[in-house]
Amino acid sequence: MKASRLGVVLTLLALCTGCWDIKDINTLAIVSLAGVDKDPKSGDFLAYYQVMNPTGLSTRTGSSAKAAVYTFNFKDFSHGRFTEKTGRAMPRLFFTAHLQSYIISERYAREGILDLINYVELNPERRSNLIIFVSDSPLDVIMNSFTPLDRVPGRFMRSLSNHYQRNFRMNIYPIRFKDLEKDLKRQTPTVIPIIHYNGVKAASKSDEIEKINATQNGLTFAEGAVFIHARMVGRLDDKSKVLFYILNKKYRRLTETITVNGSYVDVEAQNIQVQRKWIAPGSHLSFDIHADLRIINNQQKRKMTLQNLQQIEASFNKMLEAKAEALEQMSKDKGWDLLGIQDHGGNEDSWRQTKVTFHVTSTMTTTGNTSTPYLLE
Amino acid sequence: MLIVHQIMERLGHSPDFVCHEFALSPDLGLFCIYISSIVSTEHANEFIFKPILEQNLDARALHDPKSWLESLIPKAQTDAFKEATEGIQRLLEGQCLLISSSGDCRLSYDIAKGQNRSVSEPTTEASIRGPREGFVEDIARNVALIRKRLKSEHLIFEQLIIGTETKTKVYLTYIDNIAQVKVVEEFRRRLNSIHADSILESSYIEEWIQDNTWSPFPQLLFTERPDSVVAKLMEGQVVVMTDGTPIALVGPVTFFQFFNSPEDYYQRADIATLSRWLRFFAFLLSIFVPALYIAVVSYHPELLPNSLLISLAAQREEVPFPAFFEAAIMMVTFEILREAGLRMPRIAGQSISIVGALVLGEAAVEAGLVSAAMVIVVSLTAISNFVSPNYGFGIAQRIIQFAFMILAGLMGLFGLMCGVFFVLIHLVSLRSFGVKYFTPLAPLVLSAWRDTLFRVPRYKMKRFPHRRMQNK
Repeated sequence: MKASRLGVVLTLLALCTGCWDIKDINTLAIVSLAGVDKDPKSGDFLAYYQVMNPTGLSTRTGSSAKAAVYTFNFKDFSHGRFTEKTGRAMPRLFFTAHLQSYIISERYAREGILDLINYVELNPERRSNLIIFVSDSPLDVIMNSFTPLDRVPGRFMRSLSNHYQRNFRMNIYPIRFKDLEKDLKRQTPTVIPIIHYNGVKAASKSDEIEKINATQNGLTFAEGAVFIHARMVGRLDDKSKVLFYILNKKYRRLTETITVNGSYVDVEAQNIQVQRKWIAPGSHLSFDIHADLRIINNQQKRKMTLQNLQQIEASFNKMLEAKAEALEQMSKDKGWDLLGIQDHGGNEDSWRQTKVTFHVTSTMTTTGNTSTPYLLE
Repeated sequence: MLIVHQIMERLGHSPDFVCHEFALSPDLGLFCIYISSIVSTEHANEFIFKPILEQNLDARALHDPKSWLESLIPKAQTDAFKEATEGIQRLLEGQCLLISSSGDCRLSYDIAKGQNRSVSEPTTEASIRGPREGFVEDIARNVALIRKRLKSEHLIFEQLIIGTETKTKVYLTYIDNIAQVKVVEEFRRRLNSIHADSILESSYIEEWIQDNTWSPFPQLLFTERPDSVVAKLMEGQVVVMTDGTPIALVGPVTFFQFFNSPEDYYQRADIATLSRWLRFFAFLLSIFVPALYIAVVSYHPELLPNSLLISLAAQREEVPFPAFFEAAIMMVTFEILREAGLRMPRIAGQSISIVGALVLGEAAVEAGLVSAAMVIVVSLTAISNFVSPNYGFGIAQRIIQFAFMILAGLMGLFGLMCGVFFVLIHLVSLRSFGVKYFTPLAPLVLSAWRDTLFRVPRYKMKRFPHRRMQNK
C-alpha cells in the first residue's frame, strides 16, 4: 500500500517537470542587450539582440574568440515574431532572462512604445524591471559597438545606471518598464535617459576598443527623454532632469556652482528633503526644500567664517529657488506637468494657473579641511 | 565421570583441548580440563597444578574434595558449575575446569590469557582537548574505564549473552536513577529478541535493535570514547557495550545530537556553539551543493548572477557531458578514491592521494572532461562530508547527497525541493527507541535548544534529565 502510494506520488512528480525542460547553460544564447527601432515608412520593427560570447569573455588563456558579444538583427512587423525568427539565425536557445536593458530609438519612442510595454508585460519570462534607454544616435551604430572597461555593452549601460542609482530614493532609478507602466495613468512624465554615441562609425571590432581615447566612439548619457503616457514628447537637459527628480522626491543629491563675493564656490547638496503643501487647495502649491551642503571647491580668497558660510547657504537657496521656478515655467510652457501638480491634488484643467512657490533652506554640514586659503602676497 | 565424557565428546576433537587426569589417591581422581590456546599455562601451573600436587592429601580431601580444592586455589577466580553445557561455556571463555572423579566436585578457575591491546587514543574520534583514552576490545577493561570516571552505585551493567555460536557478552549499561524505565525496558526487550548465531561487532546489534533499517539516518550513536559514554549515561541515555569491539552503542538519539562532539564540552561555550553551527552549515553544503549546481546549471540559469553565468558558461563550453553526468562522474570518482584510500595499505596511501589530486584536479580540467567549477563543487562537498563528528552520520549525508543529485538532474530545483520534503517528512516520522528523531525542532522543545542548536555555558544548564524517584 505504502509502495503504491509512493509510486503514484513519484509518477505525478514526473509529470510536473523533467529532463525535457532542461536548458543547459552551454546551449543558451544569453542576450544581454536588446534594441528596438521602427521604420516609419513600412511600420516594421527592427530588433537587435546582443548575445554574449562566453569564450570571448573568458579570461582563460587559449580562448580563440575575442568578441565579447555578437549582435543579431531581425526585421518583422510584430514583436511576437522575433523569438521564432531568432531560431533561424542563432545556433543556441534564445535566452532573455539575463537581458540587462532595452534601447529604443528616438523615432520609435516618439511614436509611442505602448505595444512594446504590453509585449514585455505579457510573458512572465520577460522581466519588467529592465531599464530602458532612448537612443538619439542611429540604433544600428549603438548596437554594433563595443564598449570600453566593460566589454559587454549591456552590462556597461547597467553599470552606468547603477552609478546614479545609489542617490535615488530606495536605490531605485525609475527608468524601468514597470516605471513607465506605473506612470501610464498619471500626468507626471517619466524621464528616461538618452544615450548618445560619440562618433560616426560603429566600433564594431573588438580591436577598436584597444584605443586609449575612451570617449571617442563611446557611449554617454546625455539629457532625458520625457515620456507622457508611454510616448516621448520632448527632451530635458541634464540640470532640469536632476531637478525634476528632486522636486518629485526621487533624488537627493545636486551639485551646483554658485557665485559668492565674485568667486566660484562648488557645493554639493546632499540628503535633499522636499515637502509639498497646498496653501490654497488647487490654486497655490508650496515646495519646502531643505538640503545639507558640502563645499567641494571654494575659490574665495578670504577666510571661511560663519558669516561667509551663511552667504554661501543664502546664495545656494536663491539659486535653487530660481532654477525650480524656471523648471516650473518650462513645465507650464510645454504643457508637461513636471511637478506632478495634477497627480497631487491639482486641477486637471487649470493646473497651469496654479501658483507654485519654492522655499529653500540649507545647512552647511561639511566645509573641508582648511578654513583659510593659501594666498600669494 | 559422565560430565567429563560429555565435555570430551563436544570439544575433545580440538587440538588445543587438554584434559589432565591426576590420580591423587586410589579413591580420588581429579580431571583438569582447559583449552590451551586461550589460557595462561603459567597461571595453570602456578595456581592450580602446583598447589594440588604439592599438598598432602588428608582425610578431608577424600571426604570433601570440593572444600579441599577451594582451600587450595585462589577464591576470587573460582566458581562452581553444575551442567556440562555450563562447563563447556566456561572452557570457551578461558577457564579451567576441575572435576573430581566422583563428579561431586565441579569447579572452574579463570586463567584466561589476556591478549588485548593496550588502551590508546581513539583514531576515529580524536580531540584537541580532552582525555586520550579509548575503549579496547576487552569488555572488562572497557567497564573499568567507565567505572574510573563514574563512581556511582546507580551505574548498572546488565550482562546478556547474545549469539548462539559466538556467545558474545553484551552489557546493557545505564544509570538507574536517571535513565527512563521504559527506554531501558525497550532496550532490554530488543536485545533479548535478537536471534543471531554470531555477534562480532556492535553493528550486528545495531541492525537488530534500531527502529528503521531502511533509513539512511543512524538511530544509534556509536563511540569509542569512555568520557563520551559517561556523558551520555549522565544525560539518561542507555549504552550497549559489546565484547570484542571498542565501539559502544548509545541510544536513544536525536538528529541534532549527531552534530555534537565530545570536545564541545571541553572548550568555551561560544566556540562550541560556533563549531556546531559550522557543522550544520557543512551538512547543508554537503547535501545541497552538487544538487544545486546541477539544478541551476541545467534548469535555472536565470537564477545565477550575470557574471557568474558567463564564467560558468565559459568553463563549460568544451565540457562534453551534461552537468548531471559531470557531477556524477566526479562524485563517483571521489567515492572510489576514498574507498580505495580506506582499504589500501597505509604505505600505498600516498599514491592514492597523488592520483586523486591529478584525476580530480588539474588534469581533468585540462583534458576538458570537467569544468573547474565542478572541481570546486566536488572538493567543497567532500570536505564538508568529513566535518560531521560521527562517521555513521557522514554516510547518511552521502546517500542523501546522491539522491538529491539524481532528483536535481531529473527535475531541477523542483525535484530538489521534493527531495527536501521527503527527507523532512522522513525525519519527523522517525523514532529512536520511542524518542522523536527531530526533537527539539519537531516537536518544539525550546528548553532543549540550550544543548542542541547552541551550547550554553554550563551554569545555565540547570535542568537535569528525567530522574527516577524510586531511589530517592
